[in-house]
Parts: sequence; C-alpha cells; structure tokens
Amino acid sequence: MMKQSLKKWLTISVSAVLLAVAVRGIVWACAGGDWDGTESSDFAPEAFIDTPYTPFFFSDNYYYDIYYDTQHDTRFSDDNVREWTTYIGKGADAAKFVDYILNAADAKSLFSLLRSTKASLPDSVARVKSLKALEGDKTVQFVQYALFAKRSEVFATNNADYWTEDRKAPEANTLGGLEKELITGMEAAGKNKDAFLQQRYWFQLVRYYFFYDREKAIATFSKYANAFPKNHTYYRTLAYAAGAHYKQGRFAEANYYYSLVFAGDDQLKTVAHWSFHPQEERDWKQTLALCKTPEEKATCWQMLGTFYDDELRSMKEIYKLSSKSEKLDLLLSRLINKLEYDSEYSYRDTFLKPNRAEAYKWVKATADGGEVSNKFLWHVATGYLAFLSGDYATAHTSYAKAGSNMPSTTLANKQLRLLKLLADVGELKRISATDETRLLPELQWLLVTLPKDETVGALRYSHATDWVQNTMAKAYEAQGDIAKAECFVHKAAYYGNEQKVEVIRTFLDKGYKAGAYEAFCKEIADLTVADIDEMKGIKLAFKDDLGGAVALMKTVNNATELPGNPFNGWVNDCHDCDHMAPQKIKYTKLSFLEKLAAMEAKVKSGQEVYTNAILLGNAFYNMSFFGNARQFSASRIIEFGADPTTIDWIFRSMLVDNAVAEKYYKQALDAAVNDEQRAKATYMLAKCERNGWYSKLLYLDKSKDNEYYYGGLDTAIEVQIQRTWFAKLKQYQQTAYYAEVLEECGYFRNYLGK
Amino acid sequence: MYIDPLIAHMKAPIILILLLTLLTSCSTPSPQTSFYYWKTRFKLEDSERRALVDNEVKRLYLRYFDVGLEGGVAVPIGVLAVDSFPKSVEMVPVVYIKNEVFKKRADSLHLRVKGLIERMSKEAGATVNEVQFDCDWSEGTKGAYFAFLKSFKSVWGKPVSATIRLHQVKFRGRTGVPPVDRGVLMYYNMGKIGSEASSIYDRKTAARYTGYIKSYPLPLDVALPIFSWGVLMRGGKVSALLNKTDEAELQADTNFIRLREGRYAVKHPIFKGGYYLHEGDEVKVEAISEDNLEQMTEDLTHRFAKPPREVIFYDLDAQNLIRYDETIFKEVADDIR
Repeated sequence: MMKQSLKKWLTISVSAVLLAVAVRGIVWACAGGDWDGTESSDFAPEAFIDTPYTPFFFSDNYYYDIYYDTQHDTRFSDDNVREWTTYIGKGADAAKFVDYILNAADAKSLFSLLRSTKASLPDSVARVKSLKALEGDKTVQFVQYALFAKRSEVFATNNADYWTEDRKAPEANTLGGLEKELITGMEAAGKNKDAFLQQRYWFQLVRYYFFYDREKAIATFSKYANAFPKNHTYYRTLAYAAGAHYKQGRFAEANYYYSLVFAGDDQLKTVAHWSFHPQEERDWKQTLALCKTPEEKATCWQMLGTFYDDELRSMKEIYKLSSKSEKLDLLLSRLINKLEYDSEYSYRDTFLKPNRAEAYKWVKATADGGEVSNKFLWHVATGYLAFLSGDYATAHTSYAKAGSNMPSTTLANKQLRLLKLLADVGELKRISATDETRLLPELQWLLVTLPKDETVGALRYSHATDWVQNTMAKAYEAQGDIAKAECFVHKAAYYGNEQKVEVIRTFLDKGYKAGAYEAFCKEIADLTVADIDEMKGIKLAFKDDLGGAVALMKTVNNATELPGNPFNGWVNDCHDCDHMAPQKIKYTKLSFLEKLAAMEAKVKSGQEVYTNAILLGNAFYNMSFFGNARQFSASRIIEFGADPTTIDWIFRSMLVDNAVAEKYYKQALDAAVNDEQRAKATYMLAKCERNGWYSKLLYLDKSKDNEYYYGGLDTAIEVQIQRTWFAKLKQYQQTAYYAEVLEECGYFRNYLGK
Repeated sequence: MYIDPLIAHMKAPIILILLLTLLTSCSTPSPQTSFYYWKTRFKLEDSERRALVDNEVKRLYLRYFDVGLEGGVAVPIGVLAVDSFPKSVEMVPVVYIKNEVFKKRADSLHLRVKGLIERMSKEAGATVNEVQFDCDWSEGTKGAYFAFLKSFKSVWGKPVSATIRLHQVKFRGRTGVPPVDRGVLMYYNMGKIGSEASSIYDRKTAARYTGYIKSYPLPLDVALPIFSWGVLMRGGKVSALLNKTDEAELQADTNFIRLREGRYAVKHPIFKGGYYLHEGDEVKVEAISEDNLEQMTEDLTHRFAKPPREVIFYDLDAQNLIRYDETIFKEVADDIR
C-alpha cells in the first residue's frame, strides 16, 4: 500500500516539476537519483569498513557504488604497465613504450619489431632505437612475452559477434605451437633466474591450459604454486586454476581457490564473487574441509554470508574461528543495513529480513565480549540496534563506548553524532525547555549545517532528517505546541483552521524572538508572516472579498507576474497558448486583484455591466485550478501539481470551485443585449458546470483520493454529468458564437450526438 | 552396413508392437512419440538413449539456443554445445525467444537466427527440416513476433512450427494465431507459480481450456510434461525454481521437514542445486505422475479437430525418466486421438 502511494507520488512529481510548483518531499524523493536501497538507511558502512569491500556493501544494486564489474579486460592494465616498466629498467620514461607494446601494438607489429633492425617505433619511444641492438636486454624479453600475450587473445579475450562468429576458442593446432613456446619461455626465464618473467610465463601457460587442457592447467598451477610471490599474477593464475576445477565439475576445489582469490587480491574480489558457486551442500562442506587455516575458513564463511544473504550465521561461525577477524565487519554492516531497511522506499520484491531480536542479542553480547578488533563498529552497531529496538539506555552506553574507540576520520565522527542524535530524539517523551537547549546544537547541525556541508561524503542523513523532523513534530503536536510542530513538519491541513493559522502567524511575527531555539524553529520552517498573509489573501479572493484580499496582498509584496492574460475566456482552455501569447499588461497578484475590484465597482454602478461581468467571470474562472492564472492561487502554503488530486484536501474544494465565476457569468447573461452575448455567457456557464461535475465526481470524492486519471473518463462517470447549460445553448443556433462552439468543442458535439 | 546403435538396442517385442500398431491403426495413425531436449550440452545418457528406442521416437525437439536481451540487443543465450547427433532421429531445432526481445526493434533477427541454426547444424553434421519457435508472446509483442515468424518462414523455406500456450488457444481473438505451419499445444505451466495448485498441471485449470482446442485454426500437436521442480518459497514469495527436484529426494534429505504432501520446510540452511536455502524456506514439489498423464490422455482425446501428429514430452532427461515406466510415453501417445 505504502509502496503504491510512493510510486504515485513519483508520477505526480513529474507534473509538479512541469508546473514549477515544488511540493516538499517529492523534491527530496527525486533528488537522490537512482534508488539503491540506502534511502531508509542511517548507517554508512564507509565509516567502518575498508574500501576493497565497497562493492559488497548491502544495496539494491548488483554491486554497491559501481553497479557492475565492467573491468574484465582492463583491471590490470595500469599495474601491468608499471610492473613491466620496472622490469625493463629503462627509467620511468619507458612507461609510454611499455603502454604502447601492451595496449596499442598488435601481434603483427610486435613481430616485425622483433625482427627488424630499424624498428618502426612510435615517436614517443624512439629513444629505444632498435630492439635488435638490445639483444639480451630485458626489453627484448618483454616484447617477446607481449607477443605471446597478444597471440593468446584469440582465446583469452573473445569479443566475437554472438550471431555470426564462433565464440569457441580456436583449435589448439591453429595457434602455431604456442604451448611449446610458452613452456620454452618459462624454462629460459627459470634458467636465467628471472623470477618475474618466469611467473608471467607461468600465468600465460596456465591460462592457455584453462582453454585447452584443464587438468594440465591445475597441474601446472600446483607445480609452481609456492615458487612465486603472492602478487596479482599469482592470484590471476590461481583464478584460472579455480576455473579449470569448476569446468571439471570439482566445485569444492574451485570454490576453495576462489576463496583464496577473494581474500588475497582486492582487484579480483568481484571476479571471485561472480565465480563462487557451491552447487550442493557436500561441495560447501568439502570446500571448508580444504581450508588450511581458520582464516581461510573465515573467508569462506564471509563469502557465504555476503553472497547468499545469511550474515548472522556466517558471523557466528567466523567468530568461533577467530573472534578478532576483520571478516566479521562487512557482514555486520550488511546485517545492520538490512535491519534498518524499510521496504516503503524500495521496489525490491524478495528480501529476507534477519531476525532483529536475535541479531541484537548476539551483536550486543559479542561487542560486550570485547574480543572483536573493530570495537568502534561493534559498539556503534550495538547502539543502533538498541535504538531500533527502543532500548535507549543501551544505545547511549554503547555509543559512549564507541566514542572512546573512534577512528579519527570526520565520517566516523559525523556517523556517531548522527546516531546519538537519533537516540536523543527517540527517547523524548515531552520536550522541555531544557531538552530544547540541549538538543539545539545537534538539531542545527542536522537540519541547517549538514545540507550545506560539502564534505558530508558518504554520510546517510536524509532519512534521519525526515525521521527527526517527524518525531519532533509529533511530540510537539501531542503537547499542544502546534506552531513548533508546524515548523518541523509543514502540513497543509494545519491551515484549515483559522485559529491555528493565527497561532503560527503570531509565532512567526513575534514568538520566534523568545529565544535561540524558537529562532531556529522559524529558520527550519522556512515560513514568513507574508506567506501566511498571502494564503489568507488568496482565500479572501476566492470568497470574492476583494477589499480584504487587496489589503493583505499589499503587505505581501509578491512581484511575481501571472503567466497569461487572466481575463481570457476561450471555448477551449489552453494554458500554454495563453502563457505564450503576447500580453500588453502583465498582472501581479496584487494588480490583478485591484483590477478586479475596479471592475466589480463598475458592475455595481451599472457601467458596461455585460463586458465587466463576463471579464470578472473569466478572471475568477482563471484563478481556479482550471484556469490559465491558477498560479495566482499557488503559494508557499498552497501547493499543487498538474492534477487536482495533488491539491491538499484543505484547499482542494476552494481551488476547483467556480461559484464566483458562475455568479458573474449569470450577471453577464442577465445584462446581455443580444444573442451573441447570451450564447457566450451561456457557454461559459456550461464550462463551469462541467468542471463542477468533475470536481464532485472525481476530485472531491474522498473514496477516489489520489486516483490519477490518464486519458478519458470511464463512461460510468461520464453518464452522471448533467448538462443544463448545453441544453440552453441550443436556443442560440443562429449565432456566430454557437458555430464557433460547434467547431471547437468536442464535448458539445458529443452532447448533440454529432 | 551401418547399424545405428539406437536400432541395435531395439528389443524384439517392441518391434512386434510397432508392427501390430501399424496393422491395427491404418485408418487413424497414432501420434508419434517425441521428446524435447532442453539442456545446454547434447550428450545422451544410457536411459535417455533407451527411452528413444523403447518409445520409437523419430523426432527430437532440441533447444538450440535462447534469444534474450543484453544491453538492449538481442543475443543468443545458452547455445547448445554439441559434438554430433544420432543419425536415426530427426532433429528439430527449437529456439526459445524471450518476450522482451520483441519489445525492442529486431529487424534482422530472422536472418541471424537462421544463420546460427544453419551453422550449428552444419557443425553437428545434421540436416534439419522443421524449426520450432517458443515464445510466450503478449498482446503488446504479438505484432513484432508474428512479423518475425513471417520473415523467418520466408527465408527458411521449410516448415516452421510454434508453441501455443493454453491461454493463447482460449483467447486467440486477443493474442492472435502465429503465422506458422503447425502449432504445439503446451499442456503444462498452466497455473501461477507459488499458488496452492500445481503450476505445472492442474486438471481443473486445464478443463477451462480444452473446449477451445477444436476451433483453433492451426493443425496442432501436443506437448505433455514429465518434469518436476521444487518451487522455493521465501517469506511467502517464490524465490527460485529447483529443477528436477522431486518428493523422494527431499524425503530422504534430513535438512528438510515434510510439512504435508509435496510441501517441505528447510530445517538447516543448505546449498541445493546451486541455490542457498535459508532456514525456514519452503519447497513446494510439483511433479507429474503416470496417473496425471492418463488424465491428460482422457481429457485431450477427441478435443482436437484432427488427431495430433505427435505427442512431445518435456523433457528427455534421465532424472525425469526414472519416475516412469519405460514405454509409458508411447502408450500415452497411442491413446490420444
């Protein structure tokens, strides 16, 4: 139910933006860009967890922050250039040459580079005159190696067209003895005690075997597994060995290897995640059995908990293995994010929420145990879970413990401050003056400082802002302090009651001077006395009390001009046309009201009654929601979008009412001197009548609240509409105006059955 | 002389049955028995090979590939890996096209699909005649799908068939009739996954549709289910489908508690079929019994304007076959008129 209304809000917000009338809350909902599941979060994992784990933070997206892993063939480009530049030992300047060889040159040009004496090197590397001259130099070894790497691309990086090309690796016998050459290269490097080069050849050979002989891939990996340092090349090779196991159906071994990759190489974490797939329970048990140390087992549990959404089970297992393991922390952050997750903000369908009571109990006991490494995280988590469970005393104690273990980052500081404020606000029952003084700096920080703070970073404070405002407003409302409640959360309904209007007006006029807290309330309300008076002026205008309205509007001093001529009255309403049409006189709200008052005076004194009355009718029609000057009625307090259902109930009947317009159209009809004039006044009354029926049947029917009407109305509603003025219009068939209506008004043609 | 291993395995009594069948049913030939083969690698296990022989299967409907969207572009997915096909059985390539494909422009898709079918067939040394398309099209994609079928037919030049779901038979005024030579009525997947009744087959649900088969304007064959699956329910919602899971398997597994017939709760979290099952998840087992197949026979007989040419069982898989008598498929096919 909530989800639906929220979606509807979003739909409406599009119209709201079009009309340039901002409705609070909607702006907030749209401002965050794509929704990712953090909308209901107050807990930023960034404040606690190391960056390599970022993709695995809890999110509605596949990967948090990066969405998808798109670096499959670029992940190591920079590392490769750096490592080979160091290897050839020609100084940092050689990086351009290395980059060219690795990332720009094709196999053919490398081949000719190795053969020729006058190498056609790019300008940037002209310093290396000829490779032939460098025989025995590491540069030659590098280019030779790069050539093998390029030749491997036909199977290693397959970007063939899905439909027309074969995406299978080419037959081994078409590769020109690559296997043998890689073996020779590796052996030669071994003889030369060139461990760097040897390891690289090892990687290439294992990769080659992954495509052409999987058992050999595993054997070749194992043979040299302990011969080289545990660097990127090692883990890339390990990942191919893991893949070979997987393809051979040995899932336990594959998953074990992937767990080593996950733990060992941050750049390959997403790769390990993608590939880690126990099929049956026995695979998983065997994977655990293959682990050589508790830390390795902890990695497997971390992967299970993170990838398969069972954080609490995994944390319990890891804690048993190693209570100080940092692998607990990612899981805890995910657990917290899940527990605070509010599906009202999400489109996510299947989502299993952990049991909060069980989680709280275990997390608290673990934090209290004092064994964990990241004490700041665990105490904050306990405090926040206590807060979510309504246990404010524990929340405060835990936050105090967190405070004494806090890392010196601004994010950690802001995170703790935010959560403490939530606990402070959460436990308020009656807000006393002492509370106000105590909370003032914190509330100012949240509601005034943070929105302007450009260093706010990953801190998640939008939901906290909403929650604090709503909680404070509710408490103030309960204790009868309605002005402060309205300052914290603006509600249109508040303005349906004249006495309450005066209360907030008085507060904004004088009350706020009572103290710093009251001044702060006025600041966050973002309301002025003029806003209140403008609303009152609009209300009086709708009551045709122009004298009162003019007097108020004079004090408001709103210079905004109405976008179209508010005295127009066409057969068909076209606001855009009116807004674009050239206008000799532009009206502000005040000058419009003054003009109306002058016209009313003329009608009263019998001067040009028809003309003035029909123009007054048009003006009151245009002021209403249906007219081209509905902006007259929009204000800081009276907000609406492009559909009447976006008008708050408190103002809706006023805005969709054409009674005053009808009064003047009837006066015009009475004063008309010919049938042309009568036809026009009659048709204008028909327009008002039609709007009246729409309002009655759709917009003012609370059972249909927030139904949004696309296209035509259903016939069940259409048949209820009575058309008394259309019937009267038929007596003016001989007039030019009638012909015009017949031409332009489809409703009327339908009515006539034409 | 080359003797196909399939024929070599044929048992004498079966040949006799075949002869008798030929003698007794000259006027209305029985529908042929066929199977769908729906895996990503073509490699027949012994029991699958035997099922083809025992049930005198002449045609195998082979899923060649699916077509889905990747970055908004139609691509082949899960292309069948195949070394070679048995010579004694005619292969009918089947292409499953996701409905989403026809929500995008797919102008030359028919040429791409034709090209890939031809390349795959050539590589496997198979001569193919008919091609079948499987797509759960909607009113919104009807136009694009039918246009695709028309274009494909014009370049293919040989028979083209398409699967027809029960609702497409009943509401053909709205969903339209695909421009193909034959249709295959899918007599399964008729319920909502996760509802109380079986989503594979429910006799009552089926009865709401059978009356409309006769007036369907395409010659129809029929596809019957012999598969089972476990519907994994998490928090009351369908979370995954556990392929080939059946009751016997869950009953034997101590990680599950039997709640009632066909319904199991996960007692301890475990990995199963590539999924991780949480404690408290439920698995609803859905399978087709031999009795179900008999009911289908009864309910479908005389429902067709013309008896179907073939009864195609979904799908040929050793794990499905163990639940049935070896020759039941042919017996069921023989009984449908």
